[in-house]
Amino acid sequence: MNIAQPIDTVQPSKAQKPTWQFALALLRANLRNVKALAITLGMPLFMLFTIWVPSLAGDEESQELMQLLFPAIILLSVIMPGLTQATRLTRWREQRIFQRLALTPVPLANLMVGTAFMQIIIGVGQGMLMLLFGIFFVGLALSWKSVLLVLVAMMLAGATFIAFGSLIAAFSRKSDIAGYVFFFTIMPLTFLASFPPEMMPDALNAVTPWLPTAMALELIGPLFLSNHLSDGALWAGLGLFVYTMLFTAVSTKKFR
Amino acid sequence: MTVSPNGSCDFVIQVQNLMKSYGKVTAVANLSFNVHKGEIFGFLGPNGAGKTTTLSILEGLQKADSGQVTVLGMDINTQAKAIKQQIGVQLQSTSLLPDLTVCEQVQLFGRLYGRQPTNSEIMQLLQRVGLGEKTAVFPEKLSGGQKQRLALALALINQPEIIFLDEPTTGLDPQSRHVLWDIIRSLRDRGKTIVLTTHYMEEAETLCDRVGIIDHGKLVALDTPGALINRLAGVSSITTSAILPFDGLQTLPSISRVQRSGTQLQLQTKDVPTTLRTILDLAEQNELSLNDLHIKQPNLEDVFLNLTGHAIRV
Repeated sequence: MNIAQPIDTVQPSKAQKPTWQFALALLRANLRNVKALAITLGMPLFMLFTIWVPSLAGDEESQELMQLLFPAIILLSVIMPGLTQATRLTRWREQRIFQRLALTPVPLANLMVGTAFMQIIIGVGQGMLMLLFGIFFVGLALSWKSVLLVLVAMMLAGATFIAFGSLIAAFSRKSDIAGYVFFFTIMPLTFLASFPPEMMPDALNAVTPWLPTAMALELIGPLFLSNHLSDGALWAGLGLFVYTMLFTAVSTKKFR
Repeated sequence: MTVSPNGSCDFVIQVQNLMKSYGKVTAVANLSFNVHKGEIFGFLGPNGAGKTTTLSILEGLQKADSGQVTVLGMDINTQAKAIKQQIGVQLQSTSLLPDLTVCEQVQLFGRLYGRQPTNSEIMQLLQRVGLGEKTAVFPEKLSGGQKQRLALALALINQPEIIFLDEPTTGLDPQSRHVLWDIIRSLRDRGKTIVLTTHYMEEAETLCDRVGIIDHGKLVALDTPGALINRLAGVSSITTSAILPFDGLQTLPSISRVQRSGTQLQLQTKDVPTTLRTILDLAEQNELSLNDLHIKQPNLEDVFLNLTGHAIRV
């Protein structure tokens, strides 16, 4: 080793955006991990596949099941990156990776947002695969406008649940606890949002529209199934945006 | 930054009356010291003495309860971001992003400091720390020494003025330790300031220009290793298996203590030449051979144990 050689030859460059740089570095690493990527992208596709195969029979019952479960699976695929975010952030904190990153001039909140960006980009990939599956196998007749709207809606809903994952990570000490908390919080909300109103008590029906899961379903479901936005889509989108901002604000403030 | 009498800026770190407690436990108690530009400053202390807490405060990882800390002339409470831009840190345990290769880690950290290191610059840095062959390797495949050297590379990517190293050689084999020492010395030779903590007395004695000994959060001694040894280490010890007259030795003024341990006779003295002459005379008078005469000079470990005691800290 030539220890006389100067070590500090790296020159300062023009202003960079470290949050993006961090997100891109993580994204590259994720894309390289082919097995993990295949599982991430393939899981919702597999779920779609399992309900699509019975619908091939063509009977009315199978078609109804498809109609009922398709939006719920879309919702689950949008939710799952939030679970990854919650466990990843807490695991990195447990492993003291964030302690090392905190020694750089970039605030931890920005790095947290960077990981969220990465998750959203992966989520878009997931969404595109599901769209392709829907168009080519399920026979969805989506216009280009609807395809774009679906992707935007999935991004917005994904951002909400990723922010929710960040919020849980901000208050959880261990990654397994964060995973449990996310799971046991989001599952009831998903069921509440997915069940038909006529099956639910009035009190719950009054609360359900305010849940982020219901808003996500309101925004995405009709686009997938009937190629148009629902009447309540604007409010649902606005609600998800407010939830995203709220979760992000609290988690970035509280994350240590 | 304080201006020294010759007009040059000297102190790069100034700490005054630093206090930090965790609940009822006082980790740092009224600590004051300065670090000169271009020196290797070492912190020695038993486990839980407050070394790492002090370093964490200087690095901006923790807030002090009270006291004043300036790094490169900037206040740690109000200018932490600017300070972080100009310091490099190697933590006690190295935590790296698991999915990024060695090269990507360095590249990412460079970018977090607003730099755009080229591949050749990254390669140069990695070669410098002996990781030129490991650019495409993931952290889990690196040995302990290689991880520490990667952590050092990350600490250097932003051209820091001050480098903080928290027990940089703990757990490393002697070869890796000496490689790191060479790197640290070369950084000092090029004007960088290094602040390190260590458990290894040899490391502090051979590497550090000045050493501060911390115990119970207080600075109990601060000087060059040589001055600390001269001032505080106390006596040398001479050991032999020759059967010298025990009573005769005890009365000699140059010998402070005589002790027999098994077949070994141990003498403690502050005046090694006089004691040696006496032993040689006694051996000649009694026709004894002195084949295994050993002299142990006091060292930094003696200073450390004298100041902090022999009890194990938990």
